[in-house]
Amino acid sequence: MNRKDFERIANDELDGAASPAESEVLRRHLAESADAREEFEALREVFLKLDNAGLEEAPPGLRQSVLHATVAQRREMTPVNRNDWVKAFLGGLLQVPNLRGAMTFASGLGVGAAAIAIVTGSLVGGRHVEIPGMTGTMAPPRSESAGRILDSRTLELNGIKVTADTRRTADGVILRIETTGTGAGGAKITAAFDRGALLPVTLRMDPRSADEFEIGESSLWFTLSGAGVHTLTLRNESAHSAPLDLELRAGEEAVRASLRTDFSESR
Amino acid sequence: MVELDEQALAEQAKRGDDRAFTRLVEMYERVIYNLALRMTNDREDARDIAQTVFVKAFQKLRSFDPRYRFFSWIYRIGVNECLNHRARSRRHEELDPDLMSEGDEGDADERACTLLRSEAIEDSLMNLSVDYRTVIILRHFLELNQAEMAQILELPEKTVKSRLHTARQLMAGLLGRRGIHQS
Repeated sequence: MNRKDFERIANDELDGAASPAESEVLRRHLAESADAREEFEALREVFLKLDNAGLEEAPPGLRQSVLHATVAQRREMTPVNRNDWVKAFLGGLLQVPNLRGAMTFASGLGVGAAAIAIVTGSLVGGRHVEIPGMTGTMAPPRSESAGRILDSRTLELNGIKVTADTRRTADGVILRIETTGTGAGGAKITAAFDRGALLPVTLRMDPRSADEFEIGESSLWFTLSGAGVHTLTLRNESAHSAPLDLELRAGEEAVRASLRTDFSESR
Repeated sequence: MVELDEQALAEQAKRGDDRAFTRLVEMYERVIYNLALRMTNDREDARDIAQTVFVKAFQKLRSFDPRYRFFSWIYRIGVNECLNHRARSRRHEELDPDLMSEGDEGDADERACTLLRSEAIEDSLMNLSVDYRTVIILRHFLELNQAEMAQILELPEKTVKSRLHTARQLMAGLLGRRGIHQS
């Protein structure tokens, strides 16, 4: 057996890819050559060492970091869907009967002015933070606020007022957080939810009011720099449901509340 | 069954389903992290690379062709990112980065003498050229077959097989020098 054939067949044998005929040729060659036996054993040892080295567990928090990073990527990547805004704006106006007649005249003027404002960016001024599935900045309330309200709570601390509610959707819950008050700078809001029951899907921060945020598998937190409305969409992961815990913290002081995520829950 | 689920998840993720993307991250975080860890032998770098791989996958999802297997696609991103990392860090290397590069296997024994202070398989891996290291990792740590490796590396299967044989011979030489096979 030449050198090239020996290497090929020896590797195939250890890979489990050698044919019965090749295995027999190799067996005979090994029986005849001490050097080949030594080399084959060294190769077998390599297989054993490598195959038994195993895999390490991924570091804790890697998945969360990925989720966080993709949220940040989406923030950079997703353009504001201005068409949706215009549609929603006009759609809302057309749903008011008394305005329909006036729309003939006003729409040309109004839409023209709105278009100029949008194109120049003077109207769309807020930062838009989202995970996939949500578009639009400064858009009128849409599907995320159309759900049935499950619960509502107000937290107040040092002049900061946070009104939060949970709303039912077809496949989960929306947490809507509205912050007001001049003292909101530096305050932190944390929403904790049952990891087994709810999966965070989209986060919308509107307008630019949160400088730092982090969304994990079982919590969301962000700092406040002013008034704003933020919505976190969560999907049901199981039939099980559990209340969502909200905390408003400013320095050492904190106030907390729980919100239902299902009508059957008691708070 | 697993593959079908994976392909379905990839298609859902491509359509913007974040839950599907999260599931794919769960499925692949361990192997991608280990790919990066074995390529770099540095846990911090491996973590950074793994995160970058998934972020790039997220960015490129729209270009993913569901006719191809998702694992090949994500592994390919992983291998490329490891190579990119190596290229970036190469500027800072003091040691000869071409140690035991392809075609130099005849000098393996001589070069292995520089490794006497090292004892671990990881060190041996790190002293293989990146081409040889990659095939060893894909085959022995990630347990891919040669056809899958060829697809990921975009090489003829024959080349992968040849490279793998040489890599194993080099590993045998390195480990033999250290007496690891006798322990």
